[in-house]
Amino acid sequence: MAAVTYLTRISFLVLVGKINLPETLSRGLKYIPIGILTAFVVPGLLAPDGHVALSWNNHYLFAGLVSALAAYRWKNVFLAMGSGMVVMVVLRLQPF
Amino acid sequence: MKRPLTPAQFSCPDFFTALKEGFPLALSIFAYGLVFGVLARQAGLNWGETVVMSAAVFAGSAQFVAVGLLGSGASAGQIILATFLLNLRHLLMGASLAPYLAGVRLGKLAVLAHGLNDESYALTVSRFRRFGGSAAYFLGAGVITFLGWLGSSALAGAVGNAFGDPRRYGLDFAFLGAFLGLLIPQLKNRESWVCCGVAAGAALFASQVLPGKWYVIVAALVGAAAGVGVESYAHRNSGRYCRHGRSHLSDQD
Repeated sequence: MAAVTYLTRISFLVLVGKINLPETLSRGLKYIPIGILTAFVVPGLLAPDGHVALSWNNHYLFAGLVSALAAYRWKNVFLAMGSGMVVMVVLRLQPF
Repeated sequence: MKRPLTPAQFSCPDFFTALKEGFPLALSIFAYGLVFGVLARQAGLNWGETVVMSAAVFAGSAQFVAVGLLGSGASAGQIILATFLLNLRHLLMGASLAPYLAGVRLGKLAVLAHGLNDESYALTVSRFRRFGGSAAYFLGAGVITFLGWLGSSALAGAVGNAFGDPRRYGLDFAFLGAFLGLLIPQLKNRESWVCCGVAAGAALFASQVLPGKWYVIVAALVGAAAGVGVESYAHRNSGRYCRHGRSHLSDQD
């Protein structure tokens, strides 16, 4: 387990630095972070329990909205995280 | 910001900045490590095995799956295969960090690699896109997340989960909030918005039809293709610049 995990971590980190990538690929690499971060976030907000839940009862959606606005306004990770967590706690205390 | 050091030179301020910026994420990792420690013991691992697994594998989702599989009597081969597939997303993360770490020696990269996880990647890559590469920052992000995960696995493996369900404190949202905080400021031009939008659709669709974490890989690849597509379209008339390759396209916009 440790070995295969480490293999996935080191291989491209080293290889991509050593070889010259075609131009299109190296331009594509620039967008990988946005794609990965988006993928970390979107299913977690829109399908928190594994299936798509676009409803008023999906607290993650509202917390995510507040976090996104906070991130946009203040560009601060801690505020984005904290504001969304507060929304989660409040919504759970008082289910509307 | 001017950067007097090369990515390979060790910068103490960068290291401590990473510790500081990584601390909130390390706290949420800590909360999930507590849950992991309890589950690992329930699946029949002893304390030492739990700690060694968290130190050596250091991959949250793969470890949760592994102890689940252990509990249901899966074979070692099945567990290793599941781990490998779950962690394939590290390939893309490594590939996207590599250009920023040019000149860092193999021995150092070998150490840094172990600190690559979803959270340290999110921190590191958004830092690199703003200020350029820094091995010290990457190291700091790896160290703080590692301490959070190892410390809590060890604690919960020994005493059980003393804090109850992390959901009670909104901690199940912590990662999502932090990732949003790192993602949104990077959406600064049309290409990045298109990449994000396409990746969002792809991630949602793929998460419904593909197992495990394949949706991360699919979304990253499809989103990157869309970003390059829009970029190429926007620069379709700049043929005379294209002779000089992509030098006119900023890497850090």
